[in-house]
Amino acid sequence: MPVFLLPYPVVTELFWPPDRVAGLQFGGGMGYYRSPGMIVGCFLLFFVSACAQTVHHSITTLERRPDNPRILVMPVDVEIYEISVGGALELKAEWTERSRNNLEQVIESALRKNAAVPVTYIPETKASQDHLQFLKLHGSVGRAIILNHYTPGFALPTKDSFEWTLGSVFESFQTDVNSDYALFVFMRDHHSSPGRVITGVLTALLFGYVPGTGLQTGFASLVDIKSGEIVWFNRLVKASFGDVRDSTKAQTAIEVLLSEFPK
Amino acid sequence: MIRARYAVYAIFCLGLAACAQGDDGRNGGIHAGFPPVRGEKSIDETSIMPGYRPELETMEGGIWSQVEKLEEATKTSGKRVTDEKLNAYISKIVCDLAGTYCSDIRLYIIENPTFNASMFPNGMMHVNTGFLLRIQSEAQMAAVFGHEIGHYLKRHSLKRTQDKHVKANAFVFVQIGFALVNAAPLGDLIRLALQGSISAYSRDQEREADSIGLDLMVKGGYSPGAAPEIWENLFEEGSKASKGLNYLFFGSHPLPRERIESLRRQAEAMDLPVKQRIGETTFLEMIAPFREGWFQQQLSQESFKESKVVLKNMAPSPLYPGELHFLRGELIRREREKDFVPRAIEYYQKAIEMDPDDSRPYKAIGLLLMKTKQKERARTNFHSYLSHAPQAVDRGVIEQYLKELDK
Repeated sequence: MPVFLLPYPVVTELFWPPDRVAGLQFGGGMGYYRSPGMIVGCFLLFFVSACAQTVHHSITTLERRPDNPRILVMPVDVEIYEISVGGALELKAEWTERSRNNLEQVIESALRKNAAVPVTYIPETKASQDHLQFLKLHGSVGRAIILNHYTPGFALPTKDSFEWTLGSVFESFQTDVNSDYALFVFMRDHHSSPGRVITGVLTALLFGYVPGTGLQTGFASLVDIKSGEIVWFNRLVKASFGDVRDSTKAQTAIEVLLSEFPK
Repeated sequence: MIRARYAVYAIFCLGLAACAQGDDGRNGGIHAGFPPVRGEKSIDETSIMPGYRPELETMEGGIWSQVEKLEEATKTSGKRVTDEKLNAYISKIVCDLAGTYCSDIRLYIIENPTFNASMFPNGMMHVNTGFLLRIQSEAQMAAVFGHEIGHYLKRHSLKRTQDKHVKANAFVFVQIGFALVNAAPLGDLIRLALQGSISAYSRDQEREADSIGLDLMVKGGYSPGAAPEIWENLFEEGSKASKGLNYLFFGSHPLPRERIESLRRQAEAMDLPVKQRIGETTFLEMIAPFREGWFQQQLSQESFKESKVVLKNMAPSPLYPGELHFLRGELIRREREKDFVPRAIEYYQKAIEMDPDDSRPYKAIGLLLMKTKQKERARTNFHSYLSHAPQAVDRGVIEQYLKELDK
């Protein structure tokens, strides 16, 4: 295999730092620049953790007393990228919007099928500091879970069970949203541009080498709003587990992602 | 024979590179559909229109949606300076400079000790506290804000991303070409050349933004002489720094020397307003309550040579007459070089002489002396601190120190 064509994550080096910021002197934006090393490292982590796809949960059934539980569906965090010929990642806003709509629909119907009441999170109430802190804390705990449960070599030596909590300090959040659980879904996908596909065919014919294609990553987390406990968590990294731009395939993706979801 | 092979491959590469360009060009044309704004030099037909929003399908739409997410994070960031009065004051200056684009530019003051301001493609502008700490006037602020608004008007981020994409796409085919003739390592040379050319493109944009900035600030009635001043101060600081700012080939921005000379030349050739605003007094009054905090953050960088230049360029505070002496004492205390205790105290005392009501130097002396034999002097200074600042947030801590000193 010729060494000149690297899979896309490494080729992105040529694009670093990204030019979202036109700076005055150094061109830096707050926390926006990451080093090439870090990016390569992140992709390596993706690759090594690609095989680990265990669902973690501390409950198997939702609390029903006796009404069906109300599950707050948080705004889906989705970004869909196109990989250019040279390996640059370009966020496609139109694909992203379509995917978000698809995902929100299929998540709601999946919850209904599970005899739960989906509640849409109203962003207007986001102004409350408590909400923001709740969302930010969930982000931090989620990152810790991915590191410690899904990344080889980073497992906590004395933590055998799946026990993670945001704490029960978010009382105003609880009363504002009037729900029992909150569901967070995160999704990233990368699709090769037509030019990249053609280049891939070309290099395959000439050198027998196919440049890297995109990965799909996603995670979902269910929080018991009253206790703050993360009761169910799943993360997937694959070439593809369902193109979320398509409503039917989005349904497959969500089914896979929500496997072993509490009944 | 070999030469013929090269030629074939070269043609092949060029053809594919052209395809790649077409592939990237689906943003609907950068300059298409914008009627010219007449009678303006810096705002012309290549500028963005007021109230502009890109289509979702375009590359620009993707970039904007990414940056909008970043803006949401900025709004709630703990690093944001949220003081209403300061925000209103600086936003007003930005708004006046931006004119018809006022509502398109949104200012965020960011707690960050480095000298920088940045414009994001969607009109979000970050201004670091390290920048506000280093400048002296509204006119200097206007020079930099004008420059940043220039980036927005000319969609520099988008163009730079497109430039990079086109060059990187072409590079893939160059690599294929070289591999076909068994000369793959030559590809590395081309990569270097491309990186150099990407940086050169960026420097051209900076020059364009500098010109627009100058134009906007003069239209706003400011003295254009303030623009090169900023770079002179920064140049002095940079020359004291351990790592110099002088690298050109890969530099995204022109060298300070070049910027100073070019700004001076351009300023001389301009029709200037009769009455030119500098706005030193108001600026100083507005930032005075925050300056100590910002300078402390600068000190936390532990680059004391640069901090000395920063301090030297600071004007006396209208709030605390002795503040510059106090800050000099803080610099010496944190630098921890030989005899720093008596040397720092000397400056704290000078600060107290000039302004006996400023509580800060008393506390600083107390903290320096409480671990030495001069316990009595430490105690007196802590008491003075508490009597001058009875509402101090660290009152409990100081009272605890006083108890320990009594033992």
